[in-house]
Amino acid sequence: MTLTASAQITAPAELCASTARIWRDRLENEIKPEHEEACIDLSKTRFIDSSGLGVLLTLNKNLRARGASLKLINPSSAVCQLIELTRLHRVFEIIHN
Amino acid sequence: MPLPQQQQFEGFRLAFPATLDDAREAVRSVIQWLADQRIQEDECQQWELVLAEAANNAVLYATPEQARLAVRIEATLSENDIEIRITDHTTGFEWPAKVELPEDDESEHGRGLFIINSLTDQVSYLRGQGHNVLCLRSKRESPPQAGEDTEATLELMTAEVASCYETLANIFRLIADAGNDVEPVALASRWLEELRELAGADFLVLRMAGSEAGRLPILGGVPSSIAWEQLLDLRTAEAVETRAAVTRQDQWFDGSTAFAATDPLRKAGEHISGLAHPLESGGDLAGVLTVGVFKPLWEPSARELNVVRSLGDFLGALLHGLHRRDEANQARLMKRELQIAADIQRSLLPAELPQTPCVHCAAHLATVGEVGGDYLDAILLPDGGLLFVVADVMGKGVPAALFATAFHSLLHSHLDLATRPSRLMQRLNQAMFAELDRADMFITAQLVHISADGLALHVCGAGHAPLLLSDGRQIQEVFADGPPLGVTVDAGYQDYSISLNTYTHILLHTDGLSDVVSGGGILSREALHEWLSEAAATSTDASASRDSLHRLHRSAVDAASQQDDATFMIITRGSLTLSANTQNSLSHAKG
Repeated sequence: MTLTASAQITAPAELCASTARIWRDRLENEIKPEHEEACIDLSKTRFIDSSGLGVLLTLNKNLRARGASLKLINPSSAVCQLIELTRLHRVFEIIHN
Repeated sequence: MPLPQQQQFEGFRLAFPATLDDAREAVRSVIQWLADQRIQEDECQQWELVLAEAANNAVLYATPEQARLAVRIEATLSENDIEIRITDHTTGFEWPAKVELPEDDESEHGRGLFIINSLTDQVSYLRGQGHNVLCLRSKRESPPQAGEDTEATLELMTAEVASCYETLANIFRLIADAGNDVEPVALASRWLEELRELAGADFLVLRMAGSEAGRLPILGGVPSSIAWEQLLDLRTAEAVETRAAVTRQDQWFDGSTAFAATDPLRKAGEHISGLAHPLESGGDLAGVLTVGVFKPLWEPSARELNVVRSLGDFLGALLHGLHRRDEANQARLMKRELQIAADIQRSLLPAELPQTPCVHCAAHLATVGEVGGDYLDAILLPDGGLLFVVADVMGKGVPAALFATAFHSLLHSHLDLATRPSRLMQRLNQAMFAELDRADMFITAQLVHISADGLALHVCGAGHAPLLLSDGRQIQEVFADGPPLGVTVDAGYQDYSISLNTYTHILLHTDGLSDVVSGGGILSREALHEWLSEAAATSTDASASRDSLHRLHRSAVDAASQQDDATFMIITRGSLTLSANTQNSLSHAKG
């Protein structure tokens, strides 16, 4: 069995325009080139807006460009609803444990 | 951070500096006020998102000068409605007639207005001189019933758990199905039907990568009433499935998609929508699964999409594995088949080449790969005469070996005709024509009879390379040729008779040796003639001549990096003592 090098990151309670830059910097620091996937734990995230989604989309695009993948873990029902509303469930891999 | 200014009027009003942090704080304050007014939690959540998008726009699109002016939010409640106005001092913009999501699903921007529009009942945007007003209104929902939230959450969780179990249970069933050694097409058909039901789709098409690069043949499609395109050419077609395969990304299509004229999905109808999902296995493209409905817009739930992707990926990996297993089995079978053919070919070779005091012979048989279609024989006849045979069965492998076997049997059962090679050739053609014709194959052959005293030669050819004779000075090239065996049932053949008084060397060969006949061999006609003259002038040892010709051919083959596919037989006349080599003078090369 091969273990996948994975970055495990817990997202903050709010992923929005005012926190987007800090959140983006944190992702850049924590996700290393050797990581084959990034798992973002969204279970503690109660609020996300289009800027927060934008950060996740950029991350998804960057990871895929180098053959890695992004997994969104346990988003709350409110976050799920927004993802579905904006049809991003077609783009993101969402995992409910 | 300066605190938002706020004051009560008939509703709630506040102004905040145009920064993102202040905007966030302001939105929280408005939502707190709504909650205090006993607005339901899910309504508050929606308003929080709508106001965040609106307030962010008011900040992000302000120039430094405009940002000096505060943004204002006013919220009012009536019996039925919630109305909130945001006044900013940006340059403003034209509110689009139709607010849509970005065309590119993965675009990082362009969702704010869509969120505002989707989560409110009424939106109006008044663009003014120096300031703009965004007016948002939604109906109030009825007050919550006790325990409703818990029930809804439980319902959602139950649905999610059920969906996961459903997918898992289906994967287990799929594994069990595949373990029953079921044929891949049958497995695909059955599971496409299952997937159609699970995903609430109308049609599915599954294409799997095969052995041919750049093409995706169909493995299954439902409903079967549609005549699905059998092959998707990844090099030329500008099709939705092609894009999914090439980009390795999901491709959505709907009523507004402009399908290329050659797009195979047009077979499903004009007003269709759905998703083409690439399947991967071990980093390779395994195929494409397309799921869709016969209507212009497909809005699958997350559960349905999850089932399609999870089960589709698993089915793809499973079928890819089965395909690779079949390919490996096929390769093993083919190798075994070639071994059998090689064994058959070897069994047809004479154990020893006959030698007489007057006539000696040596031969070289090449088999390219495991087996070729070349055949040679030398038979000592009861009267002391000799029959030499070189033939080439078209093709390779077991079919060629079977025809070589039949040729060998027929030849040996008609040796009474050996002194008249043309009659023997005619008999062979008549006996083999029907089978050769049915298999669309043919045989070229040359029969050479030399009398017991070694002085008379009769030769007959059937589409074969010419017989070469030399006396050490000159070359005679004998085209005693009729059509190959298996071409015409009533083909006529003629004998060419030669007195061997002066000739010492005779060469029979297939067209793999030289380019005399079809350009298939590597030695030029001139080079072959030159070699034969020299060999005839220097030695009557057949084995030495055979080895010399083999070396000449080998060096030409090595120089051109080709395979050794030459078969030839040297016959020499003379009364020299036989060399040790000549006793069994058949060399055998494997390319």
